Amino acid sequence: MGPSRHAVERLLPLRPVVFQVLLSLIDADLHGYALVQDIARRTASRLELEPGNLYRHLKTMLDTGLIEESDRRPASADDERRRYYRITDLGRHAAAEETRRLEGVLADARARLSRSPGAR
Amino acid sequence: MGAGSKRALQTYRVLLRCYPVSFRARFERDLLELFDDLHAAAPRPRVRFWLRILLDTVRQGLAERVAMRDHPRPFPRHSGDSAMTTLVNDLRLALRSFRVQPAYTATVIGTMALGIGVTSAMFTVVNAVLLRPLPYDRPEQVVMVFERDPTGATTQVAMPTFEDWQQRLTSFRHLALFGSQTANLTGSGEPDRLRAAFVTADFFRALGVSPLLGRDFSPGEDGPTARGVAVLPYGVWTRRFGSDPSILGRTLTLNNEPFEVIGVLPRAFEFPFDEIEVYLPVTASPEYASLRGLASRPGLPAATRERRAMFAFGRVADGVPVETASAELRQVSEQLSAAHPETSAGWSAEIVPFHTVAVRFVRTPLYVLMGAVSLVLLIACANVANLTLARGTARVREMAVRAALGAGRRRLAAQLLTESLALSLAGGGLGLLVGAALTEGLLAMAPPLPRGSTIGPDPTVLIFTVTVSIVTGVVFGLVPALRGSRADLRASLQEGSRSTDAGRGRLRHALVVAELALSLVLLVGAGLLTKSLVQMVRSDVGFTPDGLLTLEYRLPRNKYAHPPQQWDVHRRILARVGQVPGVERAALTSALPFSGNGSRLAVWRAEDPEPDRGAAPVAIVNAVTEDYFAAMGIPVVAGRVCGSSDTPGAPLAVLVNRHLADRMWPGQSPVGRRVRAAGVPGQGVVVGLVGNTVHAGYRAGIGPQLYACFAQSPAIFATMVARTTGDPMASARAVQQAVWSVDPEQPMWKIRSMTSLVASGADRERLLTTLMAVAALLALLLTVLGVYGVVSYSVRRRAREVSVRIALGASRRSILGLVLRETATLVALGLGLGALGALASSRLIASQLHEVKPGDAGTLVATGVLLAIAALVAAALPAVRASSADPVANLRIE
Repeated sequence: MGPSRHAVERLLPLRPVVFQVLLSLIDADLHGYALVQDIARRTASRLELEPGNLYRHLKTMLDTGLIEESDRRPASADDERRRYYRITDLGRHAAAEETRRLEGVLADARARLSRSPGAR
Repeated sequence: MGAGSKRALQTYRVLLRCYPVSFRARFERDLLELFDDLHAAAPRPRVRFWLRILLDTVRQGLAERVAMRDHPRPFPRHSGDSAMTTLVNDLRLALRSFRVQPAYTATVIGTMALGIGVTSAMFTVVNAVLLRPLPYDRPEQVVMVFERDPTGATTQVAMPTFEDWQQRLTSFRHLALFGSQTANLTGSGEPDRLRAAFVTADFFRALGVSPLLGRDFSPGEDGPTARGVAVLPYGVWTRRFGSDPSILGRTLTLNNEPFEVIGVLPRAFEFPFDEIEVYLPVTASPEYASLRGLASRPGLPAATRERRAMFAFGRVADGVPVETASAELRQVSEQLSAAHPETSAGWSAEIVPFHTVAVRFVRTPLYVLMGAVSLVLLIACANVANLTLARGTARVREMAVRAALGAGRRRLAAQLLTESLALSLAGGGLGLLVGAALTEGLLAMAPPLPRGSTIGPDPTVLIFTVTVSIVTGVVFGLVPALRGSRADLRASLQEGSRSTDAGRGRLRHALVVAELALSLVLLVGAGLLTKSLVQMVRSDVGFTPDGLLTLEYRLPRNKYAHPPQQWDVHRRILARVGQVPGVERAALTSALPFSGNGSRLAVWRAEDPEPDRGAAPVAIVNAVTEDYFAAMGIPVVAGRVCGSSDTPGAPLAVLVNRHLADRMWPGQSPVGRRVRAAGVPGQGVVVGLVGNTVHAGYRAGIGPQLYACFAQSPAIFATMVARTTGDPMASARAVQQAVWSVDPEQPMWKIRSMTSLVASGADRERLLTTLMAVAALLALLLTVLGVYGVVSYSVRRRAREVSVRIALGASRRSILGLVLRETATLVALGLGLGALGALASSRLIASQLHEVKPGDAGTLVATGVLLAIAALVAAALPAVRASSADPVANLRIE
């Protein structure tokens, strides 16, 4: 059984950085530098995280249970000592709910823009 | 991990103190790891990166602290009147008082940020270039070894002399030789050139550097029969070869010969002389090849001892003091000059620390600038002290009340000092950012500095800036604090009392006088440098740089081995370039003015016996083709230029400039005379007389010059000059194509206009002058503000006196005169002291001046008048306001 709907909705809307970190962790457990690189790559460098910014967000995410520390190391782990992070069930649900919320926002925005004069 | 990266980590570790302890305990290691990765990936010089990191750390650190306060720790803070609590209380009081007076706070922080910022920026450069030791194993053991001519000037080293040193000197663990020259790189895309260092096998061992990948040169690999091997610097490996780990074993074609890459140097390695792109064994150098061409081993002919063309350095053996090595070197030199009197009589040798040689041209300018910005900082301090004194007067009652409530004098002083320190630290923090931005700007406009690639923030800069902030906080805060705390209860609480103010007025005037004096010192310095720069760039160089395109190339010796082949290629290149649309005339020369090229030979009249060394004029000798003088715009005064009759078989034709002709044949025509030059067989016939040109830079000025004909002494190296009809750079590509139509594998470099080349001849002077002028203008601005502040304060304080005078019939003009006379006294005192200071300190920049005396009266008077006018205008504004005040209103307030 997943986390309660209330627990997830309490967290929405997600901050952009939080959302991006969750998206990065869906496929693999990553360490800090890998997160920075992955997010920069997926956002075409529009979101480049500095150390303090990243770790303050990670701290909040750890404290709210969106992510947790991972003991597993990927086979190709480049450094044994680095701390890896894993997405939790709550994190997955939050990312999915955020996506749904954004879809709603987008649908509304598209509908309005297409009604406005001059739109094609 | 490189030394740079370790320093960066240390700096970041200090910065992390912005975060609360609990956050650090949890994430410090991760933050450091992430920082290290980002630092390694950030492009140099990483100024932007450091700004991002600094802002991130300060912003997130504060945010985390605020978040902590909103969710306080489970355990209450220990209470009690500890020093910490007192400090926190003082800080709280300080913050409150800053909120009450935002204008004062902003002015002080802004002034300090400016003063500390320029100081921090300059220190960043001084630290990286002059103070930080070179990244070698025990760098103090590494010394350059020069030969010294009979006049005492140091020169490069001849290879046979070096070989003798190697055999005889025992106080050196390693001795190495290097020379740098471009090498043609072919076989991969467009032909290019690499700046190569040709080194002996001991080179890297002498520096104490081991390669990151592979190995360095083994003994014997610098021998005449060894196969070609190459070592790459880290930067070239990453930029040109994409950090490819399989680079080892790859073959590079340089000067048409194969070189196998055997090693890559670590990132922290630094060679401060040229930006070297590849290291090759000395045997691959053209110099070595031409020497060996003169004789077969063993032993070189005596004459090669005069070809002093390489640099030597060594590592003194462990435990041997440099003085001992020096003494042994002198001894060996004496033996050598006794053994080879024909080439080495009177010659000696000398040891100079490696680092000293690397920074010899920039040391004085950098220290002068460091001194200049320190003066700006002092002026900023004086300004802030003045503001704080004025504010102290306004707060006398606050202090008196606090004293009445039981605060001791020490407590009051501590509180005031805390306020100053808080302000100066805030200014310093902002100053770090200002400094980082200024450093980036400085690097963008500066000509390449030795060790320039290492300039950037590091823990030393951080510590320096914080220390400067604290010291300035004490400097501008201490006197006001001591005075402020000496609150006289009764007097202060009485309405309208002025009793504590007289001493303050004198002190404030003294500060303004000091500011004026320091400003004048800086203005005179900037004025002298500006005058010198103007003299320099206005001086006649003897040719017309406008419209000239220049480029350099070197034919591969193994492709065109013999002089006739070489001349043939040069001739064909010249013909093709001459056909390029937009090119009016093209010529070749072996050494272009301002290029740094040019060989010097002693010359004398052929009918005279060979003169003693030092007695004959030493001419810059330059081989040119027929159209050279026409293309350059150098007047041919008499005779003819090189022509088609001057072939290798014909008598050697030479041209002389006026300077040389006047020295050798004063009052007579040189045409038809015969000359000889040291080390050159046969004699030349003077066929023409040409105008003087500035060749070896503005400072060297005009000297003796001798021109030979290119066809009679062709070489592999040539500089092309092409006079074009329009913008010379617009023809650059077409000229390059023309060269490639003769040999598609021929690289060219230094493709530039003659105008830019001549302008770059004053680059260092221009930079020094610009920075000095900026410092002087800052000083002027701060001083004007200081004068304005003092006068307007004193006018306000004396509003009642002024009103009484006006009420008693004094004219407004006489009031204005009263205020201005007082200011004039301060200005006169300041200028007098400043003039003394300027006369004393301008001697420090004497070595940087060109045709201007350090005590130049015109400059002193002009800058003094400028400063006096600026100060009087600053004083006139509040004076006018005072004289037009309504006397009745003023009297009523009191």
